Amino acid sequence: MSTLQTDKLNSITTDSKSKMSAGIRQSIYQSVWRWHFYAGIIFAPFLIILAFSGAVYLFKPQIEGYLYKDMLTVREVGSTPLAPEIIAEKVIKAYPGTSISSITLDSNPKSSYKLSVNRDGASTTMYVDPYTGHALGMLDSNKTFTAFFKKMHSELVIGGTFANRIIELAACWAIILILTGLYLWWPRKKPGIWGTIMPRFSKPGSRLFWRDLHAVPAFWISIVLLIIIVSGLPWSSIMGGKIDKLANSTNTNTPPFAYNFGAKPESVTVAKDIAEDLPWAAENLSVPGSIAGGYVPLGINDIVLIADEQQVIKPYTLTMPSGETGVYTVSTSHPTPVYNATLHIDQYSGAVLTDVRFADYGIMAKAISYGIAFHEGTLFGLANQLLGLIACLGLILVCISSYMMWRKRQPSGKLGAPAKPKNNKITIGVLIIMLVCGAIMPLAGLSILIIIALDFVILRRIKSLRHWFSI
Amino acid sequence: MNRSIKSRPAWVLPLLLTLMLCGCTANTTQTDESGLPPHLSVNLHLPNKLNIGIPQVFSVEVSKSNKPLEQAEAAEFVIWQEDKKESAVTLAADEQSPGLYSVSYVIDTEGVYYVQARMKFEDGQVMPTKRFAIGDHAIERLIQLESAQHSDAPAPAAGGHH
Repeated sequence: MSTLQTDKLNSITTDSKSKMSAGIRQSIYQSVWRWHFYAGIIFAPFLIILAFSGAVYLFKPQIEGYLYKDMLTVREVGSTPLAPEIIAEKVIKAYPGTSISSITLDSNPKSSYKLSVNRDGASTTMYVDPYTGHALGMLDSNKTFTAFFKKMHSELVIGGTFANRIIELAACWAIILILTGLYLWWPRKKPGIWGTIMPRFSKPGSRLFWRDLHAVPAFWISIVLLIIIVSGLPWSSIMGGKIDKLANSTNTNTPPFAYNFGAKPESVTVAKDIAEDLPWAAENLSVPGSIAGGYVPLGINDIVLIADEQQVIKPYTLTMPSGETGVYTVSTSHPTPVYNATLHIDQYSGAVLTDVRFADYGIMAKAISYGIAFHEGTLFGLANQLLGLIACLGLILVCISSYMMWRKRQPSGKLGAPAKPKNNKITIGVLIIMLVCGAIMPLAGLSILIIIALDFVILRRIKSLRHWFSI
Repeated sequence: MNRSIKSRPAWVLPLLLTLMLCGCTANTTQTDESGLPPHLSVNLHLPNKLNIGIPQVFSVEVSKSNKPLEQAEAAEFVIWQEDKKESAVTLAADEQSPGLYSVSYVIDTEGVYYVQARMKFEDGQVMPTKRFAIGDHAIERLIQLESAQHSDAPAPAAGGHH
């Protein structure tokens, strides 16, 4: 064989190889696009709800600071605040039948003290002027303006397990949408800035215009959005549980009793002594003269003294013990997690039974705490809020532009889904990758299995449906 | 010489890794039977029989993980009559035996009294409080206070200890 012939043969082989690999690439693209399309069409409405409610809730401090200004700030700053115990006494005297379950002390001299109170069986929040002890107003924290958006964001307003699962599903699919979207966005031809990092506005209203308004902003917000979604997952019930388990098994979670909610220790003093101090009541009465009583619970002022001594930085919430064996709990509520502190204090002796600070957290708990602060827009102030807002508005834009793209493409009598790739191996390959994602995110995995079952059992058997779904 | 240089990485690396991992894991210390890390425990003792005009001994035992806590940074007892906290008496306590601090005090009049041991250590502080009553009326009052506390009922009219 001559050299010329060999070269020709080689070039034919290379050509067919490159054609084949282009075909494979095309099939992968097609398959990924189908998943991206279906996921988008199903979850875009939920993502718009999450983005909108999240964007509003991000600005809770500013919104509530404005709406409830008269309650949150004092009219006149006095010289020194009254002792918390005096404030509690004044409140109980002014509002008979009120019991205080917690009091939040602020370091800002203009801020009022926030008291969680129970009035005739109903829980509410009372804002009190720390200089006068007068209540500035009462507000049900579940019925504030931003609480509605929080409810929309976390349980689609309707609440319950179903809504919770939908949110989790939308969040997990949003991750898949970002990853598949990035794959579709990835420049395949000669890299250039137009259509990748800069949108082309030359033909407003065209499919290219909407495509660029979809892919380019989506690329820009992808990382922030990914962090926001992942940082929100610890709240979800299924993924959240998995994350918690992983943190526990690697000993990188928080130590026990790290929060003011959940399990609390018991006061050790009462467990040991009250029982032996009680019998006097019945036995000693016949011998008058003197008797000794049992331990007396400490007052709020004592606990404030202990919290200050332990260098807990205000603002912190002091939660009253529940029942005879309960503990006082002091927990901080700072925007940044580094000052996190939760102390459980024996209500009779004042001994600090547990004291968990941010430094005591394991690496996963630290990351989750930072993530939550970032998700809520409190980690680095206004810049964090604005970044969150850009991501939320960007997500809404991306959803709208994707809808416009779809409408532009949709042929009559069809859903307008990207055609199924001819290469079955690729379809199965991409499906396996999806199932791997599903294994990490169980709820998404379950939905993938349902889609496969639907595809095999119903869609493939009905001709009109096959045509509509481009199968 | 060479050997010592070569052998160094063998223990330096595991040490560094251990240190790094320690920084990553949660700080969980040994816990006691209640699942709590080491904490201060107290036992405030009042005399079995309290008399007027005779020195009474009040003592407190402080321990941590069942070990008596010696050499308190501050050890004092505060005694006051109900509703008269402004005239509370503060007495410096002596360490009688390791972890046992006590004071002696003479009660002059009948009434309900509060005694608080304020103890400060390097490891933390405690301030347990107990009540006692001398005289028939005071006993009735104390019974009222104690039963209100144990039944979780609102504090009686004469108020708590503050």
